[in-house]
Amino acid sequence: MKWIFSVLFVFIFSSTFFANNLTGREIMEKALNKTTWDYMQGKVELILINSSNQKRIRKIIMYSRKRNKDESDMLMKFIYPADVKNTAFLTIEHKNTDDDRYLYLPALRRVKRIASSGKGGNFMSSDFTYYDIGKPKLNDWKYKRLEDEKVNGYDCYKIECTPVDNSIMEDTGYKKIIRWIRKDIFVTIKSLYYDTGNREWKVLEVPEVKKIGNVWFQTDMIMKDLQTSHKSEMIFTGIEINKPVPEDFFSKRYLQRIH
Amino acid sequence: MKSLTKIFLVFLFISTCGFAQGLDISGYLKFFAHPNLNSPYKFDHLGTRLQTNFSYNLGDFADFRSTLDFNYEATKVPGLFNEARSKGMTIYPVEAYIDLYWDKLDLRIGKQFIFWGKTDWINPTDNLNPWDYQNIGAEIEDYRIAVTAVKSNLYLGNYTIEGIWLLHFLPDKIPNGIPDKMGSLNVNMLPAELPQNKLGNTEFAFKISSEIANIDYSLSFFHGFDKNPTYIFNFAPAPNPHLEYQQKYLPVNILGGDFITTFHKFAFKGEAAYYFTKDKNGDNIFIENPHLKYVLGVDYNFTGKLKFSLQFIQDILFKYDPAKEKEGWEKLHNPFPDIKSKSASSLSTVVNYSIGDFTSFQLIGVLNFKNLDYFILPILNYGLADGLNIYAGATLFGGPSKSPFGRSKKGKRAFLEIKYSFTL
Repeated sequence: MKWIFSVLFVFIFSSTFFANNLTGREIMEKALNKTTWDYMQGKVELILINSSNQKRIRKIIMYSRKRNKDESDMLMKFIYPADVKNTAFLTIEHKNTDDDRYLYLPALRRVKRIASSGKGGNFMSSDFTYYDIGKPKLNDWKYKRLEDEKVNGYDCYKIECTPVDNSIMEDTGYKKIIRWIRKDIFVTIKSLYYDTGNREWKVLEVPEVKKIGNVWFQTDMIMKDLQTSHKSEMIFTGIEINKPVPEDFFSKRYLQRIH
Repeated sequence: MKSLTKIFLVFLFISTCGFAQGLDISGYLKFFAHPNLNSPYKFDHLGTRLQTNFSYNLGDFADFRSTLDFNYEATKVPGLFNEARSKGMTIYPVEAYIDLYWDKLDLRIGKQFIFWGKTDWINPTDNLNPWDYQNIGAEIEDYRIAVTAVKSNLYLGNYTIEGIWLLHFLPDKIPNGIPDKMGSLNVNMLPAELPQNKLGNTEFAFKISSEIANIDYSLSFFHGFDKNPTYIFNFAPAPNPHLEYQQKYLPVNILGGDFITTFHKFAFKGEAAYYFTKDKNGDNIFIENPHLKYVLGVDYNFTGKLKFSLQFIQDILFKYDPAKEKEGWEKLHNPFPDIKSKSASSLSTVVNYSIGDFTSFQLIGVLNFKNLDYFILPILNYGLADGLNIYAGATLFGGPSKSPFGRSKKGKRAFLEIKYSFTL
């Protein structure tokens, strides 16, 4: 019996020791690995709130798949409000070249290849950028571990992320990001973004995290613009992880069939 | 009676489908006021529209869609502004088609819109749906006219082959710019001559599309009739000298191509079409000569909130001799000869800007270099609530009175529309 306690003690001590000695990069790598899926589909409610507290709601159906280790495809289709219903976006990600982006506008009845607004472009006129909603690339940033802190009662690692070069800063619009990552599940539950002038710009809060399948998922995210008092919230519902999505969903042909 | 039949068919369709799953009903209700800016009539349009869309999904195999407009025009009430324009209530079937899907083939049969081309607003290869130049506004279905057609898309690996068969000819709707008098001569208009409704006169088109690297491209061919009329003039001598003219819609074959590619925040695009007109040798002054029209453009996406597009357009006439043309017009005693340049160039722009949280602005403009005549269409959109929008804008024309846009100066108007979009 004694030896079991000894083994347990060594295991707990050593895991705590190693966890406490993780570098900023190692923590970030674990966090990225914890939120990886092959297929994802679900509904997104995007709430835009201006400084006068006026709200506008957008509802989207989203399908995503990982084509390989470094590339993924994403299809988004608006279902609300009625004036933008059936508008759809298709993004085919490429590791070494620009992503292919296609837009289907129901009024024009045609699919059009569109120019990227860059990673720093606003996603659906919200405070989230395309960078914010995508998966960060580990090698684009340098990581510095700061003193651990508690956020909403959870023990968190605090990591300072700075871009490896100016092109990343210009593309994302961020000179620095501070992330708070929950120690127990390695999920970011708060981020503070600094603009290129190193001023505090936006803060991301994650009120809800759910385990779906084997993946921890941020099901509610609120992005506040500290400079304009504008706010956007993304609520995910009906999320299904690793349920295969037909390959032809991620095609121009399927975009045209939407109505 | 025709309207009643249409309503009956629509309700028959709804009642048939209403019990089934997969029926989607949506549409919009809008109030519109289009005040004229320099016309004897106060409004070009004033009224209300209810548009209903019915989509019925039959699984992976087929879809049905129909769009119906119930339009009430106050400007067309007898005696209110101009009795000749009176219409009141109209029911207009915008679209009605069925989609059928197979493994490598999609078919769309019915009244539909088919827009071709990769450039913006000006598309030399887009010759399938006629334009309604009398009704340019915020909705594309106002200024384009759906055609009854069979459209097939065959998917073969990286290639898509599109085939279209247009069942009957529809012309553009163009305000009549020919005055009743030219100088001292009276002008008489003869009834327009449209292509006969027979199998040999049906129009067809093909397009093959593909992509290489990150370049989307296509090659296309259209066989049909020019939707723009050709004006055939005739001088009638003494004792009652006058000019008479007739609008004719002549055969044309069009060979086209287009491309678009993106690089970071830029999109580069181009589109060209060669028009094989009936005046093969350029010896008929009325009929348009063979010509090449092309558009080259660039889009720039600043941050997603500001997008900018600039395009250069050129139309080059072949086998065109201005001196010979002038001589021909002089024989007609026509004081307003239509002598063109061998080439005409223009610049067009489209700007989209999200001004505030719920406000956006779009500006479309075209400038012809020769006479500096222009067309401007600014549209401001404010989202009052989800699905509730206010659109304000204007269609503005300017330039010398004999220039293409200058001739339309009388058509200058503003518009205000309040639109509520719904889904049931």
